[in-house]
Amino acid sequence: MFDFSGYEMSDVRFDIDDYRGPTPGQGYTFSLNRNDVDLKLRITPHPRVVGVVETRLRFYGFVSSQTLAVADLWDASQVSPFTLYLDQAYVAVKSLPLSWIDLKAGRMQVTWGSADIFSPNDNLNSRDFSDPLDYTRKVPNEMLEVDAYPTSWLTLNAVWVPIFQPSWLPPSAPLAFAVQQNAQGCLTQFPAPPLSVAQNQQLEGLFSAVNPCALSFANPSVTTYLPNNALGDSQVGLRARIAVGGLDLGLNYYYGRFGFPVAYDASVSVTPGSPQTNIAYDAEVIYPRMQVAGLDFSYSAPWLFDIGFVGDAAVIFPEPVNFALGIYENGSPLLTLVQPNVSGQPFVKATFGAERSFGDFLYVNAMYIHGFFDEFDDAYGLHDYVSLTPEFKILHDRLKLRIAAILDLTDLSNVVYPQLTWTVLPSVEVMLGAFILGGSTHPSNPLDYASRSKFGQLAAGRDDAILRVTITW
Amino acid sequence: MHALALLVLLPTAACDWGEDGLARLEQLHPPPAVPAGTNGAACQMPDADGGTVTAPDEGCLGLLSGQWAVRLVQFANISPLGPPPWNLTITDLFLAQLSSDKSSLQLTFCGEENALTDDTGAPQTLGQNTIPPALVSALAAAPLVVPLPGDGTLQASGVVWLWGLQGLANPATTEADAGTVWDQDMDGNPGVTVDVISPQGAIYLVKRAIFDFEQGSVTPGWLTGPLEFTVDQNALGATSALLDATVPITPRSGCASVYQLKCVDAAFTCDSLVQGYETLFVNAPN
Repeated sequence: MFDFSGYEMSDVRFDIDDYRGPTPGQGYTFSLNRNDVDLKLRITPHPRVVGVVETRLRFYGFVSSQTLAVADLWDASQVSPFTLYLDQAYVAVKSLPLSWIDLKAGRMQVTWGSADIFSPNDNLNSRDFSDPLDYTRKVPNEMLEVDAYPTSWLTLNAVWVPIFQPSWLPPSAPLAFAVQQNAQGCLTQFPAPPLSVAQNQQLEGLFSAVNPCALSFANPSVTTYLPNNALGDSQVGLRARIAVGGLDLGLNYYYGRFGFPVAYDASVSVTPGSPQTNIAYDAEVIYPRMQVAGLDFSYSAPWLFDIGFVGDAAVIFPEPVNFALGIYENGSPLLTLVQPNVSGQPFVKATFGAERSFGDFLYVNAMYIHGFFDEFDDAYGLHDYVSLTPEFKILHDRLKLRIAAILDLTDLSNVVYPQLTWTVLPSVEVMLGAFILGGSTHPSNPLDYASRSKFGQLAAGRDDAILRVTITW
Repeated sequence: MHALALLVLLPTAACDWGEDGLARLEQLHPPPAVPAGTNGAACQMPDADGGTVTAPDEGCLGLLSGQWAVRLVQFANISPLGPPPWNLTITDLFLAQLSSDKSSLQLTFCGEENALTDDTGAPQTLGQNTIPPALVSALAAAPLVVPLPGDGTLQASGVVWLWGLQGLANPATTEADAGTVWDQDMDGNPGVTVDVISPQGAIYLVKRAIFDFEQGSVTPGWLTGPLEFTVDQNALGATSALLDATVPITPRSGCASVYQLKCVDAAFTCDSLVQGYETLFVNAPN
């Protein structure tokens, strides 16, 4: 038995700002011209065996460089770059070794928790944030899963992920480390590392004696320091789900790593010269280990206007991380500053939400989030958020207006993502939308690592207008 | 069974986990050997563990005869990068002999060692000075004269020690062409030239230190006591803009600076003192 499905998606985006790019004034150009072809094949060679393979062929729609070598004009990878993804490739065997146990192995994406997107219990796959507008994507990973159904109301899951895969980050992420220069090329601002304000004042004092126009900063280099794939670097998750009436309750434990990077160390290499002193900034980030004990639920309340409630809460026991910054002149140490970045103290992340449909015309989802999915109670801390997503539907759902909005209650930055979707014909959709970020692009205190606004900082990305056409089959 | 063992193994690994960026930095940039004279903790005397501890020579009786090795240990604060202040321990080394009329002690400069630690106690080299041989010779050529009460003890106040300055009453200036500044080490630069470890370079400065030698204790072969000091030091120039800055040096509260004199034989030299100052004064009476 074969079951073939998939989609083709054409996505065109246009930057509608000119201040959020690497250089002020850069904008009002096309930023994306992408075509995805997703092909999913589901094979059932035996009633108890299922194989799933899902690939995605992505064409980027731009040549690889504006100054492409003429000699490369024959090369498809240069003229029309593309990538092949393998989003799923696993085999599932039912009723093995017992009738109430299923096994799965291969490249999978597993979702735990009840709250969409913001569940702190959803840790088995890292996030694929390479396209911040496609924020629900995950990084597929090879794993082994055992699902047990001992009773009708209880489900048990155990997952082993041998190799850690980090989250993918948006192209704008390096802007979090970018130095800022004025039109004359003089240093105007250096991004504060995760040190105390007093330590960053020391750093500022070190360079304040030097003419900022005499400093030549190379682009900061930030590299990951990944685990070495020892057995202890594996990830393990255990979950129990209980279904009682309308209540779906989950308990879970996870041992593994936080999928987003945490600042680990930085080396500032100073090479005095004339007329300019060259400065190179090389930083490393790591993915700290953590244990997570979590609880989640979903419940639909027929006695209360049919409101659906969801909640996720997790206590996270993090690995402590000390951040160190060293300044070296011609290779000799000049100054070393050390500051705890992750204290090692347990902390809580939680999401609670409610959703309700109002007839056939309106659906509303609202959530409170303590700790965004990329926050780990490091020097940046945990912020609080509210999200509100109304969706208006007319013409028998053929025309939908969905407005996803998130407000950071801590720094008041925000993001609004309106999408107008027209179902032209069954299986064919056209979406017109915008992705708009609000908040200060500059930290409120240049010496305070935590004072960057969540959605306002340049690393959060660009304001975009979107036209997307999708056909599914 | 294997999976079960894994489940037990993984959480227990959390007991000793932790990622230290400093260790990683030291792996990427192996630190150089800590320079001699670094003493680490606050108020720690510049004494080294181990080595041969020698008894004082018997050729001295109070401050009435003999040659003395002198160590002035000054606990100070300095803020090269602004607050919080760092700990600076200045150890000035001299050989001392009595004047012929026994009315004063002539302190011939042998060298100076500086130990710098940041507010966490970690050794730092930013702005740390070393004294080049030319300056040692220049300062040695003008011995520091400490008046004595004549009773074999040491008690003197307002003892002024000048580097690159003329006129005891003149404060340190910031003007290289001020009339009070002279090229004491005769290297062509104003004032005196002090080497800086990092950023590597040299700074041209003038300095006026004022010492108060308070009444101390006299024991056979030893003479030690509290030392009060003020340092007025100004930069007149430097080999790089980073170094051309005047950073005040202030006495460190909570730490008692001291002077220590130990009787040594006539063959004892400045070189012996500079090489052995970390062990020579071990067991000095308080």
